[in-house]
Amino acid sequence: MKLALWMAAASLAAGQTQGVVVDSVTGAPLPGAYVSVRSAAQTVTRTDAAGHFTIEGGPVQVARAGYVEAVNVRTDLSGGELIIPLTPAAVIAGKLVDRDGFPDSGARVDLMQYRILNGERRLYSAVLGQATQSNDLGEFRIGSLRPGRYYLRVSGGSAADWDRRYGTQYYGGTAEPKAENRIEVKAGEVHDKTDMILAIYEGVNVSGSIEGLPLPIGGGGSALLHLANAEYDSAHPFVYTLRPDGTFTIKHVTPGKYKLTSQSGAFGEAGSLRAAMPLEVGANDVTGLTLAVHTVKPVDIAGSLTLAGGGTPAPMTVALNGGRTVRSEADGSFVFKGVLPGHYQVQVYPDLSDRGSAWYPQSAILGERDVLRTGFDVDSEPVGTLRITVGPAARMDGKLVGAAGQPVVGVTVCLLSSQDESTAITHSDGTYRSMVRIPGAYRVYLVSDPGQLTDPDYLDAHQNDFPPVRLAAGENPPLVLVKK
Amino acid sequence: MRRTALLLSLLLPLCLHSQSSAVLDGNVVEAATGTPLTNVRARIERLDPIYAKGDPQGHFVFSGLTPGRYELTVESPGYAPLSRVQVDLTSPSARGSVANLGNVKFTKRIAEDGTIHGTVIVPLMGQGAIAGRVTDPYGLPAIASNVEVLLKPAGNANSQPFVRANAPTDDLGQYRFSGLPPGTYWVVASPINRGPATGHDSSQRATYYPGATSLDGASPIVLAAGQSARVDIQIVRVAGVKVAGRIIRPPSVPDATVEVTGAAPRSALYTEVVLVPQGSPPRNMMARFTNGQDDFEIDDVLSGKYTLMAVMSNRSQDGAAGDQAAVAGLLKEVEIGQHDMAGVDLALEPVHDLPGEVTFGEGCQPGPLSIRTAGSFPFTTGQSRAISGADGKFVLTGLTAGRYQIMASWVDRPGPPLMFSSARLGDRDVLTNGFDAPYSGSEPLRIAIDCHGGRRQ
Repeated sequence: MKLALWMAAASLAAGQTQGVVVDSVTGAPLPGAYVSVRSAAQTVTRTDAAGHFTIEGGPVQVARAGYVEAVNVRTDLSGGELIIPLTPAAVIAGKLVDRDGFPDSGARVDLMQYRILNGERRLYSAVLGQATQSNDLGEFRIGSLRPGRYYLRVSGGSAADWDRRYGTQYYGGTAEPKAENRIEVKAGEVHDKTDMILAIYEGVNVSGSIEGLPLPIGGGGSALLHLANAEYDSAHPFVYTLRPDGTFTIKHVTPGKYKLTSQSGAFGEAGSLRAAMPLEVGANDVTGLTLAVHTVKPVDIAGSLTLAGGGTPAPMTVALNGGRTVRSEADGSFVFKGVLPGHYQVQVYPDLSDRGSAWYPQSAILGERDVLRTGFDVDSEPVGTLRITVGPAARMDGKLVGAAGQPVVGVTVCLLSSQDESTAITHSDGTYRSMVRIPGAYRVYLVSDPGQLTDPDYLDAHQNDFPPVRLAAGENPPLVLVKK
Repeated sequence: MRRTALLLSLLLPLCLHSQSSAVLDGNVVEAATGTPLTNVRARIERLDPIYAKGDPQGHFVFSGLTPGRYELTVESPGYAPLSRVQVDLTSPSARGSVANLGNVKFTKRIAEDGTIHGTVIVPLMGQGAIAGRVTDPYGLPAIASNVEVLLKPAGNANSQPFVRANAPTDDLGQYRFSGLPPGTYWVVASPINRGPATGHDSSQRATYYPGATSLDGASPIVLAAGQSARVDIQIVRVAGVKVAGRIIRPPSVPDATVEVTGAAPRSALYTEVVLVPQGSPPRNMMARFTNGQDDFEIDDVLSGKYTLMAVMSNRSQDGAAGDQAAVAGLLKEVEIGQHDMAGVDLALEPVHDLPGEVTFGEGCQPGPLSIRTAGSFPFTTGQSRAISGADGKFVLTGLTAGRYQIMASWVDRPGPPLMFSSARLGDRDVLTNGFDAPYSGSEPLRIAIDCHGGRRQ
């Protein structure tokens, strides 16, 4: 068998990858999994009865009903067959009703996990893509989950529409996430009795007035107030209407940190009127707030790209929030025209289609501040020149072996620092390849599932499994890890 | 003095009433049968909302209210709610009043103790649901597959079904649409859509219940009020033919390149070739994206009539995503048969401005017109706008390759969009078929305005 496999591998055409897809818990081969390569031709194949596949190019994505999809599995290591373990997916499902026993339909149901990003421990939505909504019976079902611990959060929906006191709340009926109410699911576990009777929160009143808008408000168009939870859910603000005299009262606000904004008029030559303020709500009413509007207009942001150590890189794509892109000129300069007010993250891609390239931004200086990781705010004022330095990424090959020196296969090796991370699956000869953007010191973890990397408790428990490794820019000496 | 007494006696009841209280009670019934609903609740709002849960006979009461105008909302699971209907609980005339607020019957009287007593009868319409499961051609659940429910508008035999709602399937391939009014529906599930991160099998088709690749072969689902249906769909796999050809760049459009770090420069001209099946809404569209290459190939095309659209854009320009300048294009009707097609050569036309001319019919007072184009999915979503001059001439600029409809309104006179008596580009009737850009002919776009009613608004 081993020989036959080896011969099959030897007869592969250049650029072809052969592999086997297995269940990460049982090790059993998985037939019928879709294996695909993201390329112009969008090649896709299915594994055979023994879980085997052959495909042109890489990296590959692997998906099968009932398992967590594996994305960006690297195939560029020669020597042996690729083993791709798929984790059985967990499910969290249940039913939401309000205190009258009426189904809470159309509610947004999020599963949240703590992650450490930029050195800060915060709750993030753990599920990518379209948010789950409860159906007309109040039922929700979130599948394809990695094993792990989740905080279930419910917001909006028919209950909140019926009675504003049904505010955003967590499983267990609390306004804040509570560790004792988090839901732990193991690989393949179906947690389908996650039912909730929604709790009512009186909250407090937040009142004040807006200054600088022509009165009466509402005559010339929209005059809305947005209250966004700054800690958990800034993307889904609550919307309120200003009174004609410019005053407002927002009822039933639960404790927390918020951002209160108002904007009227469209962006254009005349600009738009905008006001924004941070707001912290505790146990008492907040009164007498004053939101002062000012005119905001789109601004141009000019910048330059330079190589670390001097010189100008070949044209690269600079992106704001992953969406708007410009290409740098031969002299490294670029301009974003007409940038609207908002918070922006800057990214640099060496090439439109090649995001896995070995060049990465090291810093993005705006004024005196490095905004590469923090992002920056655009209001109506010119923000100054954005000076981006790109440098070579740090690469490292390695091998994972057992105590007897035998290769350990199909395990995820992770390098993690507060600034960057890299994951790689070990191949059939135990080899892996890591690449990080930012040279520096990294901790090494072995995980059976990448979801563990988002679990601070797991990281704390395993931070000393291996000594830290220091990666320099460019190629680094190979690192052999011995699994105990 | 007697007069004053009379006045007082007239005023007294009013004063009493203004200090009195009001009651609103209601009965909630099923619209179709008039039977009481058993699980209802109501809310009235003036300043702060007040809530009432109905009894098992569908009856609710709000008492001790301050007389005034309220907004009433009533709901019952599985029924379309009554939302924010104005209820006037101010003092009625002595004989009381009866009013119809939409479907709601509202009566009002003054009780002997002076209480204003309003009564509503609220009929709620049952809403239907369509739910089911989608599997892939191999019988596994089709996860995150996009399911759409199409509704044919009632009352017009010729109208096309439109997408009423869409929803992704869950990890078991299940979906559910609720809140559906009575009507005729179709359900279509698209092959597993895992987004751009994964490829897909191009022979798996958007599948209409029970297993058709187009609306023609699909079975409708007829829902009566409050009815539900289970609709399971297995995605079908139908191999098609290969359509191949060459993109011919117009000589007037120069090639363009972009630098690539550590590699040879490459062409910045991208061409997207899309085959759009005729019929509406379009499903099973196929697209190929070429980067600086002349050849294109589209696999697995089903036989049928298509509109082939090619848009060449230059991506060396800066600009927001999607804002890359289109430089050339083509729209062409093609019929695909049972065999591979090669040599489908696409001689693209450079995109250019389109001149036009307005003429005014009898009784029209000529004046400047605002001429607007609207692209329609999938044939671009672009827009262009021009103002006609004193001689009736205008130029539409910035037209990307695509198919456009046209609209016109007076610049200096208010009113709805104008009637056309005709709009032609070459021998094409633009009012019926729109017009295609780029246009290779030399005639202008000719618009005739009819001030007595024309063919289209």
